[in-house]
Amino acid sequence: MARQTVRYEPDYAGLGRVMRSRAMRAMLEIRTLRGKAFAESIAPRDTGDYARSFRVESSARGESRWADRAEARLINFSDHATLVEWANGDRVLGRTVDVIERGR
Amino acid sequence: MPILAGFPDVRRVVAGALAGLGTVVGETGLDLQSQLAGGGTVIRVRRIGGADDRVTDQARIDVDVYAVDLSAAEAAAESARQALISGPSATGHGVLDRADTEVGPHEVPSPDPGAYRVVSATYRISVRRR
Repeated sequence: MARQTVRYEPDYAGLGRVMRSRAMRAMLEIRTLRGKAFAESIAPRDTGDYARSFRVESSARGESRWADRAEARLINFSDHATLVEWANGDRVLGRTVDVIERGR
Repeated sequence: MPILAGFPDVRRVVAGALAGLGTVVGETGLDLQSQLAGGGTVIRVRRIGGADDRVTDQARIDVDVYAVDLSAAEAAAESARQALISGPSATGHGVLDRADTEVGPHEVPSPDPGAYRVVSATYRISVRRR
């Protein structure tokens, strides 16, 4: 069998364009919105403020070492979001990571 | 169709890897403050997610360290991180193949900061069947 040589030259600039593309950002937004729906479904409800306070933000570039790629963020802006996540032990955002990773 | 054996309980595997660093629990109880008295450390291991690829169970695990002051909690949390990521390690409950730090040790709000402080970290832990 004849030998064949494969030569691979990574196109870092092209990869960067993909990572910062509109399509990449849109995919991240879709996944994060699915995460938002899941987080809302498992959010503890007392006054309802926490469950109503999820928001998805995105940008063409992230921050610091993630500045080379698009980013989407799931945020809870309730005043007691930190307490719900850590002190109550609900870990709503932590448990939501699976949904965002799987994309479904 | 043969049914595969169950995965080892990853919380117990992690607890085994952290034995010697403090009292390892699945849930903190009413006796938390008595366990911390005299400079003790309590480590809570909790699974918050992760899935398997049929061969390896890749769990997302929180390791929360409780101590009466922040420096003690931080030191124990760092020791726990090194104990996990230095693996693989064999425990009585199974082998911890690999640990990757997803979120390193950081202080989280304590329900009673005057009595104890809490430092938490999140890891991706890989375990296989025996």
